[in-house]
Amino acid sequence: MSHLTPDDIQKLAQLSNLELTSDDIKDLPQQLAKSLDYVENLKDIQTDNVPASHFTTSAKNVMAEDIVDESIMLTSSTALKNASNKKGSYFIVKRIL
Amino acid sequence: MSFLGRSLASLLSEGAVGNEVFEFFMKRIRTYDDKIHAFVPGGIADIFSAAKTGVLCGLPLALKDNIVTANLPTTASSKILEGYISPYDATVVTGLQTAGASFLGKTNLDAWAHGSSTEASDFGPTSNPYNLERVPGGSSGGSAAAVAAGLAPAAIGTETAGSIRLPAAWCGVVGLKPTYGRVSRYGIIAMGSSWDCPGPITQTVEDAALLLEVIAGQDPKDATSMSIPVEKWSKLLKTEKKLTIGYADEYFKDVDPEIMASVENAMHALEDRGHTLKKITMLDPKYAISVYMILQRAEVSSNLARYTGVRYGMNRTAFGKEAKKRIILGAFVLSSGYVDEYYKKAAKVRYLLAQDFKKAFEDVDVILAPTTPVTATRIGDADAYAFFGEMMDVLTEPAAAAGIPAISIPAGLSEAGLPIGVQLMGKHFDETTVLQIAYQLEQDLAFDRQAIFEKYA
Repeated sequence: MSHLTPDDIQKLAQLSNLELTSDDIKDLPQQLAKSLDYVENLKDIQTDNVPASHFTTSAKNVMAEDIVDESIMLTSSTALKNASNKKGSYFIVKRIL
Repeated sequence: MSFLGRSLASLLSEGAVGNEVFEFFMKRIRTYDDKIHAFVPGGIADIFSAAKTGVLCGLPLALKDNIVTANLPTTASSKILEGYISPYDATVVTGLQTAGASFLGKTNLDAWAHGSSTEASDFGPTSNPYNLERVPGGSSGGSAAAVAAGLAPAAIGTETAGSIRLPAAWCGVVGLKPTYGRVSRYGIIAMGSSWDCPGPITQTVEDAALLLEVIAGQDPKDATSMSIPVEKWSKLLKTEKKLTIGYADEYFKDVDPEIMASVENAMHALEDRGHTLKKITMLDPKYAISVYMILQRAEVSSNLARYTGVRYGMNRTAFGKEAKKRIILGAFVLSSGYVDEYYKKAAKVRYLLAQDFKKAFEDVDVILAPTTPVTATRIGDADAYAFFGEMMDVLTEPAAAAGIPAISIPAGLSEAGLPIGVQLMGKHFDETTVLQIAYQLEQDLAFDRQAIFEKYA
């Protein structure tokens, strides 16, 4: 059985680029423990040699020629329409390095 | 002229004109939505814009607000997307517009469709038209409440695991979750990508069939949509075929006795029609809760990673409590050292759930079950649960995990005056049989969907 400590939660939040409030850090370990305890029931089921199902229909990979379809392209002004921080035809992002 | 309580099919056969019908419902929204909050703030269309041609002749619909529209804001009921206007329309929207639909507006949901009560909307809860202190269910709660209260003649919702069927059951309307891949997901704000499925929420089974005809079909923009012929389901509803209807005790466990009485009533009605009832054994739906809780959280943590505030919307500090909880659990079940124990295990059990249905459908044509274990809960009740949605969706999750079609139709009212739903689950891409049996049951159960309008007239 796995239980998440407040430190684990902070680490996962950091990896998920989330800032947690002090309430979140207090509440989440207990709430997630309930979920993790519940899903223990999967151990009742024998799954050796069972394939994983990531997909439920018989759909196959769809291949397409690598050509530009202008009918589904956005112009840069349309693509930038909802951005809060932009310059010319660029999105401004946080400095990474 | 009153269009209240008319199904799309009857409006069409009466030759009702799109803009008149639109104005009629718009007036009702302005009068009654203050009480119900079926629509999101800023999400009401106001202006009729549709060709009065096509299959739908301009008739108005409500759209769940996680379906992107270029002419109306789309928020998924989240603060992050408040005021967001999509540069493109979802494929279902384009399809409906081509068929002549007009849109009354965008309906409320649990933010990002994370929930089963519509209380987790960042813009506040929707009320159940049958009892304003109760929830409408979710996550397509606004769509179901709008149809139930006569604020829209029909609506489009989306389901990941119960989000169409549960609110349909709790609001006394029809909700159809098509087969995964039957309807394009392009332009549906992604939640659980291997589960998500748009579908109709309507007053009648015939209308669900009619709308499915419009929205179904392969879409080059969604590689998971499939090339399976789209039928004229609304013309195929009447059949003389005698079928075998399965039922399983595993779906009756811990179900409210009043709901069970409605299910038994439905079983008798089917028998009276000459269908054969057959008891089958299914995997306990409690395992579907676990499968869903793991796989959906994993997909959520990935899908919500795109909300960085760079291209659109606010930054990640605007996520609500529920979204943060799901992202963190999703990141955990996918993390190194735990991925086998959780994610891979759940994916294997998902395979077994799908096989379980496959095996059952060797013996039966459809499976009948209650849609929900209880009737609509009180606003605020969800807070007492660590995972309210999963517990309420226990009976809808297995079909969602298996990707099969299922429909919930109203089967009566509880003593407290709350709607009860029964569901029919069918084989992959066999919406035809599901709709046919639902159509028969709808006539036999004769639910009075008009009575509620007295509260809103």
